[in-house]
Amino acid sequence: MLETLAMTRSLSVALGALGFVAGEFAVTATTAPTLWYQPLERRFCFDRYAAAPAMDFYGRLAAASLAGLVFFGVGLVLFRHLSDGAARLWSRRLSVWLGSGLLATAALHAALLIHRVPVPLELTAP
Amino acid sequence: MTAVLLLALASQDSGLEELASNVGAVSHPQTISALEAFVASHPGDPNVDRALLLEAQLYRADGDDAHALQVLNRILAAPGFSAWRRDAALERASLDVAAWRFGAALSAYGWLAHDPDERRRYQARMGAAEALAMRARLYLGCAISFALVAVVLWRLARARRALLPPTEEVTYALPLVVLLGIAALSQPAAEARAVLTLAGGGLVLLWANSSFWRLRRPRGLLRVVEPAFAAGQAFGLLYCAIVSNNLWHRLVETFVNGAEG
Repeated sequence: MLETLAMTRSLSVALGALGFVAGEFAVTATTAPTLWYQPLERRFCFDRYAAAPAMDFYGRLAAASLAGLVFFGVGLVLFRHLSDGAARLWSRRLSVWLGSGLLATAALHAALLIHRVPVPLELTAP
Repeated sequence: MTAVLLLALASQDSGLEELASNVGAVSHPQTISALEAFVASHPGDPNVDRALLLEAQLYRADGDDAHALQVLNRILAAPGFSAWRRDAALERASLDVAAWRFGAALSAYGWLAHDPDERRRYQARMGAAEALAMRARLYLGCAISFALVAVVLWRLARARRALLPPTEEVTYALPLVVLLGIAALSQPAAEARAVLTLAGGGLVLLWANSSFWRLRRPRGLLRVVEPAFAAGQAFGLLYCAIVSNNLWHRLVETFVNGAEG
């Protein structure tokens, strides 16, 4: 019983991690509206693009975390009564999916960052 | 090119000067309407060709190649060959290349290669070279596509008993296909088609190859040849996706100048 519970939780955590990676990839690769933090105005806005200098890190992190939580919840329901064989099969599948998802997301970030030319902001008057 | 034409318009004809100076200030459809009004109110005026050429270039800038072609055909259908009509012929040849009408484009470039103007001769030479290179890439892409389809059909036919349920390799690749589909959502149409071709075609290739290998496990030298052949198929698919969507130049520019270049 304890082993089944541990397996369900492990597989759900793996599925949640996959959801986190997929969410991060989706928010980074698309121009879907996201949460932006504008440090000069010290406020958040929710839009596709930010007009003022802004960072989307917190927004992407929140969206990916939300996707991870949803996938984790789905996993808790999906993996409740798995046989040993099915648990091994899903364990293998999730490992491959998570590995390929991580690689794809890392490659996407590398492609975006490799040619990035940061433009420094002008100093604001005191 | 449009900026050069605008300067020429502004410097040579006062009737078009106001229109030319307003292009940046008003939307393209508004400028096109004004140019049409100018054309309608100045029948027989030699500046009509210039106005129509600018109109075609504005349509092209907006990605509306069909309307640009119609306007260019209007210029070229009139008798005589003014300097502006020769520029219109260059513009239409460029449109023909983009639409894979290589015969018409090469014919126009061949005619313009003997133009008295050095700039037009240079553009015609460059255009003809590009048309020939693009035609060669397209023929190679077609040959690779036929080869890929033949390989897939042959392998699917040989492995028809092992096609269902799909192999575990296909299941492994499904999330990547979904991620690529999501990434294609916010891309321009040509890039989106290329990504979807790559994702869908890759899945079919994987299904055909893995089903084939499930029945005929590679042994000996085939254990090296088969993965190399699969990698070759993937590169072939990538080449076809790029060429069939006219993305060759964009790919080269991305490698040279970077993603934001």
